[in-house]
Amino acid sequence: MTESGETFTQFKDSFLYGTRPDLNFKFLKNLTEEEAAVFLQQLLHKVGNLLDSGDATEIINHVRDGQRHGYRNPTQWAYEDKPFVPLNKPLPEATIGLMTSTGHFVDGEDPEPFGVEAMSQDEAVSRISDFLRVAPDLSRIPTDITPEALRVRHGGYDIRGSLADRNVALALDRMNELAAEGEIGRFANPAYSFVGAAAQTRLKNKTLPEWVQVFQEAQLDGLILVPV
Amino acid sequence: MSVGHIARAAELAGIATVIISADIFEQRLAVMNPPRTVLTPYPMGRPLGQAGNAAGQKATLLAGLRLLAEATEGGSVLRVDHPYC
Repeated sequence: MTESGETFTQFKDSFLYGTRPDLNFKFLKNLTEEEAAVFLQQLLHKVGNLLDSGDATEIINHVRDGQRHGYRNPTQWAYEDKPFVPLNKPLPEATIGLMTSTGHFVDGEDPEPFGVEAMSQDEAVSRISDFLRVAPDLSRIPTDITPEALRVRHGGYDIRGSLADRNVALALDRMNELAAEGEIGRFANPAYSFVGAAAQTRLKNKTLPEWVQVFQEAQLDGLILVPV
Repeated sequence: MSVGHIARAAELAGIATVIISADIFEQRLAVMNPPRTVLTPYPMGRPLGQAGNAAGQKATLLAGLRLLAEATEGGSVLRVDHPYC
């Protein structure tokens, strides 16, 4: 316990929507005290290595390993069957769609969750429990949209990667290139995005029948799904 | 995992799907038995590769497209190991 009365457990848990919200490290709450202590000790050691090597690779890998350990437990959603259909035509003839759970939307088409105009990223983080109680909204993203006209907001993950380069998940530029190079027949326009932190039962029962119809009307042959 | 539900529903409607995910979510996805999954060894929020790494992002997408075209059964998994940086 610290002089402030905070225990180590309270400290490591504070990164998950607590007093120190940090979406890259919210997984610390899923670790035991010992696991979290080892993770942090090793992280600091690798930071020390960085001072001399100038290479952050082992730090990046350590963070990813920590996240992987933190999210190792499956959720309640488990299925025995394995739905499958083959792609119905060769890739160079196929229309391929892209959907991400990143929370992107077009400037001027803010889904305004809970009726809030221009909700900030910080407010989205603070209201994550509200997002988890409602069905997600579908945002349509023109595949030729400029970075300046694209917005992203999501209370469940660190959006800095997406702000730096949308192609870390919503790979509009890479998909346009692949279409131009003939790897696929056509990149379906628009692409789709939503906030993946949503009520899963409502997504299944209410939202998905509507979204599948959207995919069919877009005449998609294949769909790339990118979660964050 | 929202995308697991979406992949299953789309596939039942006749649309082939592939999920491209950071492998930090491997266990959560595996129990959903999605049709096709590409797993990348990257941090949360950057499943296709580091910001600015266009070649790596494209290589990851191409792996996904190959799996989309070549998989023969549900539950197919492909791991990629392109450098993040």
